[in-house]
Amino acid sequence: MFSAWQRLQNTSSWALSVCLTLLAVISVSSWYVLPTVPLGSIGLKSFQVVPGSGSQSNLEYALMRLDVQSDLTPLFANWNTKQLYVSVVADWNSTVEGTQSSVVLWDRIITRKRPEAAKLRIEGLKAKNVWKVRRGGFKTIPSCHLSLKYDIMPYVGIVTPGIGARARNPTWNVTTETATNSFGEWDIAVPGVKSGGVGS
Amino acid sequence: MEAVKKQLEGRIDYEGQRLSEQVAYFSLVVSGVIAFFVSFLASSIKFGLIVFAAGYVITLLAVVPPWPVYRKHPIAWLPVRRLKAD
Repeated sequence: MFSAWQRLQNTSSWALSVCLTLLAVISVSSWYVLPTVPLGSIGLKSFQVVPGSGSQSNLEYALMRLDVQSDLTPLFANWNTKQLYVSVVADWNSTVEGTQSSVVLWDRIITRKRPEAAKLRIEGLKAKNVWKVRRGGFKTIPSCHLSLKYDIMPYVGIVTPGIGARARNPTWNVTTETATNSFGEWDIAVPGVKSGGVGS
Repeated sequence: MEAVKKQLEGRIDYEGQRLSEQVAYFSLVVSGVIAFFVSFLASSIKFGLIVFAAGYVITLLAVVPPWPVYRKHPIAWLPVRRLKAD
């Protein structure tokens, strides 16, 4: 610390350490005040599985229209929320392969500049990315989960995931006597393959 | 030229070096703590970082120039001894 130049260097390097500590403290503390959102709803307007045709004839497609309702605006109450990555995801288990898979059907980024856009009310949502499997693949998928997932992208810290809405099984717990399957509350039955095809 | 260089070098004495180091250490820690609470209360990380940057600039102003307070304890050299000429 004997010369001005040395004092400048020492002070700056200490300032950098303090600044990084400050950011670490901010990222950890914002975890403790992480807001939660009420679970929204996903309504299944239509859901059909159709075979591809032509050059796509080795594939099957799941086509669906969804009504998505979820209010994610409370997430912007957190000071550390920069933007949200919101996606509608289908998760399923294959009974043959015994694997867990998921596909992002639709996604969107909501920034802090327009936090009112986090109030989602989308009717007739069509998948951006079509869920497709090998021909005959949907036979091994009895049910799937449809959920609206969000990832909080913070200014500093790590991305935090969460669930904003889920699709509820419409037949669940309504008629227990005539229930033909053992699906749970959030299991959506995947319909059988229709004849006729799309694509080419 | 030498005089300008010496002025820019900004030498301070040993006590001043200890004092300036302590000032830099504590003022930066305090401004970091203040910045955290400001950004928490204002719900704005940007604002907190501006507060910390202000604290950094103030610290530099307080520490870098050779203020008189850092030159209060000049080294007392022994007097020059004359050797007897033969």
